[in-house]
Amino acid sequence: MTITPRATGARVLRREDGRLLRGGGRFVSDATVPGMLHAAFVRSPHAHALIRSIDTNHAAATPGVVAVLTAADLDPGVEPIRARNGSPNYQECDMPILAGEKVRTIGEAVALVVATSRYTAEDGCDAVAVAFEPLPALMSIEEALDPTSPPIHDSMERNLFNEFHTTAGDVDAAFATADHVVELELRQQRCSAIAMEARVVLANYHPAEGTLTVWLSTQVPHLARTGLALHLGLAETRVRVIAPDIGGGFGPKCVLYPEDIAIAAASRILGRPVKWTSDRVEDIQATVHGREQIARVKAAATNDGRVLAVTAELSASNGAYGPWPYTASLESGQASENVTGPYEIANYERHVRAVITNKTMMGPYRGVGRVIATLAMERMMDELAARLELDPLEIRRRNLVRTFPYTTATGLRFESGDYLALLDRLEEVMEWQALRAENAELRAQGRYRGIGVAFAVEQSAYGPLALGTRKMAITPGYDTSAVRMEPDGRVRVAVGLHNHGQGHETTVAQIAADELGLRVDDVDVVFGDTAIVPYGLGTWASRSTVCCGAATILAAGDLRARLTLLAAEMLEASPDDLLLADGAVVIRGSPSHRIPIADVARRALHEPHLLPEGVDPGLEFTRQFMPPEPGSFANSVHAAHVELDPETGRVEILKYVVAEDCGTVVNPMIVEGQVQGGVAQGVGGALLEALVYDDDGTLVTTSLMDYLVPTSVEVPPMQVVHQESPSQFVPGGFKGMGEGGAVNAPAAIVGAVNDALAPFGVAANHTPLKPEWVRRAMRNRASHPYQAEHADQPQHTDHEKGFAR
Amino acid sequence: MSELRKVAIEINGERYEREVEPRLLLSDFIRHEAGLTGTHVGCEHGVCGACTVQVDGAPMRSCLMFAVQAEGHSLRTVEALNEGMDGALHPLQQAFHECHGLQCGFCTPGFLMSIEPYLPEAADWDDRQIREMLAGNLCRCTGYQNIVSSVRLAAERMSRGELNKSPESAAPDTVEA
Repeated sequence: MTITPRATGARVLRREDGRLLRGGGRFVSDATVPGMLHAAFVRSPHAHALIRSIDTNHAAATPGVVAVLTAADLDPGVEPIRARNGSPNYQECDMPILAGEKVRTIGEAVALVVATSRYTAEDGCDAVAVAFEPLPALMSIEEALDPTSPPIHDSMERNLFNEFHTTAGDVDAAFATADHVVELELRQQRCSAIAMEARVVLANYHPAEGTLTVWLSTQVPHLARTGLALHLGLAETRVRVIAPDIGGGFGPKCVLYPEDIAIAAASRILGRPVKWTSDRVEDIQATVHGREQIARVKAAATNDGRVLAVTAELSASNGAYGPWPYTASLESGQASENVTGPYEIANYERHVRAVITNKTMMGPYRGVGRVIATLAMERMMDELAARLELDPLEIRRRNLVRTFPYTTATGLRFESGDYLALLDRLEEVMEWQALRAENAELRAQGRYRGIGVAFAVEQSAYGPLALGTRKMAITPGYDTSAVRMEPDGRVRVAVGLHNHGQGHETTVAQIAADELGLRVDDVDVVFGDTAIVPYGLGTWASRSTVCCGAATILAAGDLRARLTLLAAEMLEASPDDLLLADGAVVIRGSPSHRIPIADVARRALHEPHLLPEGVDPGLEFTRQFMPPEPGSFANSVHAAHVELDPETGRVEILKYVVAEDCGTVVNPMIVEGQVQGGVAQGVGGALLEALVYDDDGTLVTTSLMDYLVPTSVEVPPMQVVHQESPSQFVPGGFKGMGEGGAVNAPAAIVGAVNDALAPFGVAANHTPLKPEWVRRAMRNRASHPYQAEHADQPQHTDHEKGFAR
Repeated sequence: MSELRKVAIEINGERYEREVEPRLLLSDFIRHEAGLTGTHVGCEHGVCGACTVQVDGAPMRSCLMFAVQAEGHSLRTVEALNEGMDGALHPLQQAFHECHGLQCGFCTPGFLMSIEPYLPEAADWDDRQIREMLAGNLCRCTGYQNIVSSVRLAAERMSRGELNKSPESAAPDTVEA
């Protein structure tokens, strides 16, 4: 007998590739419905303005235009989006579906034109006349917090969504006894996720049925359904959300947008299907941004390099609104939980602010908060290493958590791992010491190379309490898998996650196949349609393999038990003596005594008259899994080796190594792909990408010619090595790892650039490190004290082109 | 709205005659008039390359052409990449599959159509040259490394004259050790 080889751990090629490679993907932008109309939005050109009047007469008379809708046309029955948060200091605000009285950010929608084509809809938009009365725009965190600045929301007294402060341990005593104190201010830019497919909404309201079907580019189909029902006053049973293939997510497609509601409302008003496909300009303006934050951090350390305490003051520029349902606490709150990183630091104080500014709302983007948290901690480690003349790896070694489980000052429980071994592995694969020596030699010849390291722990699959304490209206702390065997013995797994590149159609099938003794090809995975899959909470925060993988193991276990019970009778054996392998139920130790799984399936589904007493028919089992509190913790360490060009300021990445530990690896090919893609976004964040506003609050980087997404030339080849420390709290031992690549990369690259800049007495404390900054840093050579260049100041020089591309 | 113009465009060997506005982008003609949705639109300003098709054999961004400019030209889109291969994947598609050269798959058709004409030369290229060839297309998922490997594998196989044999080559059941 051949036993099916275990699929978990194998490089199984992806099941989803066939359709995508043949041009047969089912992307939301490909969806059509007979009679479909097309919409375009009139958007605010001002960051902050009163709306005096909107004249839609010319637009309505434009050939091809079917309707022009403004706020007045949507009311009543359409509710503004209010991201509710019950935290004591949280100030909620309404986000209009279409702004009627005031706009608070560039790109805010004020009217919606529905027409026979997108072209004529845009003609209609051109003919809408909106009289704005501009107001002063508050574009920086400092301006917004200035007590003399007016509140952006009239309902509030200050421009703060949230503010809180916590202390763990005895921070003051640690600083009082410290040999060294390092203090830094770090600034991180605004970024856009730039999913290659921008957002798409196709809403079809069926007047006779009172039902609404929405094809939506969402990572969270059921949450989107809840959001649509809530804001349109519809029963959830009457709303269906279909999210087939979507062209990248990265976080922003987890959010409910005003456009989602507006398009559905337009379909209901007109009784016709209406489609809106975001163009790239409006995607950059009106899809949530990420990252922008200032971190003021301080570390107290001993002479031998042990960090005793850390304080962090974190302020994010959250823009004008809070994303539903996550609210505006996300960026700075999550940063504050993770500043101490993988290090054993018991004394920690944080002061967290979510600041309201006249910018696009910030929301989830791969690595939320942890990017600046990692940058801040790793910068402090490098400063301390330099001061104590220690190798950057050595100071980390002296501070890494060594015993597990370990609970951090903010209550994160790192369940398992071997951080020291992972660092050793990185040192070896990177050839760290050899490169350091080579860098020193080359420096003497006037070549500037540097090496940097960044270690981070990745909180994945947040537990229900971890999310519940954030007091959002919805606590998305579990997920669901429904495993069903069909009469032919094949299995269909319906999951609450959403697959948009992560390979879940393959990895979930691998997991189910192993539980049921099947080949991967015998399992099909379905997702992305609220009418088909069980209630689930979607794909974000590296939760899918942990939540749905574990739920699949549980549900497949129930199915296995039913199959075993039936087969026991058919084989006249004890259920305890049976196992599922090679597409059959087999008697342990007697492999010739077997019954094909399809025979057992038929017994359960087509031969109820032959069922043993007490055994129910049916082979369909649904299970939920709630991740352990406060999540499952993967870890990784990255190293970058760079060379700076003194003439152009270009940073070239010569070598990049990632050592990662995400517990049980279901499919190393896919894990490596996720790491590589994350690093690429981290390279963009470290060196290229920045959303830049001018003094009036105009977003000037609204094309891919201004907002620089890294190409194959900027992203370096990477080497990824694995270590496996399974989670003891998750069936299967999985830990999520989808974001990590993006989290460590900016810190590793900044560390490497700073190492190369050491002879100039300059160190970067911001991202991105654009060529003009690097060039200037290399020219300033001790003649001027270094002035930090602030990411949120207008950087007109960003328009100098022709570098690194 | 402007006056309609008659246009006839050959795509994948089929002639599409339509009356369209002169401002209609070629990308929209391919997707909405010809119904070939394998060609994707990522930026509509010629940077991302997702909409790349072959016009008379040369890769072009279909968002930077008007449909009326394609009159009389012969286009090839991703749907025809494996034409004449009995349902098997083109070696480039097969290499993307084996090297995990795609994740969400939205940019993939543009990459395939951009790369394919260069495969005969690419067998002799180093990674740097392959990366420079790829730099006109953006991918936000993969970090490009596996796309580089895909190009190398496909170019090597094609230079050895190896074509895909199995029509089921996209079947997912391949388990490597």
